[in-house]
Amino acid sequence: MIRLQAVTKVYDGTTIAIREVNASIEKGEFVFLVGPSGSGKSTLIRLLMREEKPTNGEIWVAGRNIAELPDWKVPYLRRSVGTVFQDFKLLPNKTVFGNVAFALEVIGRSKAMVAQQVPKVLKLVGLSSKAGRLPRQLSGGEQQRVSIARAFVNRPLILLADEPTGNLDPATSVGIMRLLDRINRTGTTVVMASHDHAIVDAMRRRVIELAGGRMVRDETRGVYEAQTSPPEPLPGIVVPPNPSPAPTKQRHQEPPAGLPSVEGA
Amino acid sequence: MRAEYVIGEAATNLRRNVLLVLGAILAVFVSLFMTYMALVVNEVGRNSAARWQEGITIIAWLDGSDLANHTLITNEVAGWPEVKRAQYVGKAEAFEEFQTLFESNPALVREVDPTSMPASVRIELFDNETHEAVVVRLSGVGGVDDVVEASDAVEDTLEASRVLNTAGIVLGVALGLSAVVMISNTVRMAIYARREEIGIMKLVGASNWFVRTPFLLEGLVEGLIGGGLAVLAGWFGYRWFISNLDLGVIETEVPDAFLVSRGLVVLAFGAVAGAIGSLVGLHRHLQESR
Ligand SMILES: Nc1ncnc2c1ncn2[C@@H]1O[C@H](COP(=O)(O)OP(=O)(O)OP(=O)(O)O)[C@@H](O)[C@H]1O
Ligand SMILES: [Mg+2]
Repeated sequence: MIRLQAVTKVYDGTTIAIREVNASIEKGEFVFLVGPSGSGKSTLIRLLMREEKPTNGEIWVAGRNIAELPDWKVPYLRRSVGTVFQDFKLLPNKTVFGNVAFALEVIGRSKAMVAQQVPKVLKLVGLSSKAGRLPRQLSGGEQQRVSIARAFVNRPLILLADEPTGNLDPATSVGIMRLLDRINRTGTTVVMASHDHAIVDAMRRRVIELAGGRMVRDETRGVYEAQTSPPEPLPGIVVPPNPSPAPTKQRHQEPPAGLPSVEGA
Repeated sequence: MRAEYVIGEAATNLRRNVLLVLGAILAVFVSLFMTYMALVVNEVGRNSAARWQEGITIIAWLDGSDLANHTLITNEVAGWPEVKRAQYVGKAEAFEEFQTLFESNPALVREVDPTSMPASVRIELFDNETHEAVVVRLSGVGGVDDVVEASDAVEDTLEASRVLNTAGIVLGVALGLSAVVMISNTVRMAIYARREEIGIMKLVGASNWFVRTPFLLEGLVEGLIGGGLAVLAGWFGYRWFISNLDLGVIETEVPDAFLVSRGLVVLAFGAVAGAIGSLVGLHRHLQESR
């Protein structure tokens, strides 16, 4: 689904944000991107949605090298890649329904399609009863659910989330993680950048750690901090040939045991 | 792409920046009004000038259609010492001239009998001081029906029309450029006001033209409104002008067909100015194109 080959990103000819990263992510995987501030997590997310072009290397998404994708085709890539951010990015003058419907309207979907899909996805994120509210009439967690609904309403192959719980308290964050987990179970590949130790440790999914733009760890069922000391050989640098060994599949399992059950957070 | 959506967005953009939009429309209006008037003045000048061109100051209309007799008269006049050039215009040529003069009014041309156009001798003098003497002498020549002279007024008015025409075109172009700049400004403002929405549209995969079309339409509408007002004002202004001012010898009547066809040209100018303004306003957006 996603394959990075010797990807390097240099900003303004000086800041090296990503260095020679190689990685492969299969369809339906859930991957955490972790690492200290400035390690390149957001840059990697921006590269995957072609908000930025890599300075070097190839980025294959759904069978296309998006480093080479002509600009006019980028909108079609975006239709198969949903995105969620820390700051929600909702339109303040549109209702919950309107914000989610907007994503379908602007890619030319019919009214019938909008009327059918939006309530479905609002039900999935648990906001059916608040469809008519404006973003400022919602809690942060609810706003993030709207933003996830908007990212998912077009049934993307991949969901990219850059610190989606960064502005939320722990209990609310757990609710968001349960939602992302549910979306992942529909077969959607999820890549999520996070600073949140508790969440990464509780979910026990694949963890890719960046430091200074390099990939320093790639662990299936990983945790936030590297466990062993001295650190195990850095699998991110000596990359296995593609396709990489499929990580332990966790689909069709109960939600990760570590996640406390918080409904409607 | 839904037309409904595009039109709705364009209308919202126009409403948000009423003052800027009105300014842009005004600029288009003034520019195209000048251009339209220049076109009309040019036509008036062309009509009047057709017979009075290249230094010809006297026309002697001739009786009958006897070519031999006409040639005799022409040769006689050409022999006069004051006359620099005497040019014979036969009945057929006169009709041709009439046709070109009124090419924008085919109905009129159809109604006129080609044989009813009189032949004439067009006379250019060495020295305009001798003008009156030549006119008197011409009236005495047998076979000359009527003598028409270009007065100083004609010359002056034609000169004025040339100056007006040039000034109108120059002003029209200069103001046209400023109109384009103003339209591009309204478009840029509209983009700025909606940058949040545009960001989200790009995020969820709206195609580039879907994002841009409302802004293009906005500039186009501004150009068309300005152009439409210019045509209306020009039309009624001109009608008022010819019914209230008498310029005597000058033929100021311009056929409606001419006003309509040039009006359409002016409207097209408005549309083009609007489209160019929008594209200039969208320039950075087009370059980014993400
Ligand atoms: N648009 C930009 N122009 C120039 N440099 C940038 C740009 N965006 C990021 N950088 C630099 O690239 C490096 C990686 O930044 P990035 O935002 O990817 O880090 P991050 O891992 O997301 O950090 P955080 O955890 O604080 O969000 C940093 O040194 C940053 O200053
Ligand atoms: Mg970041």
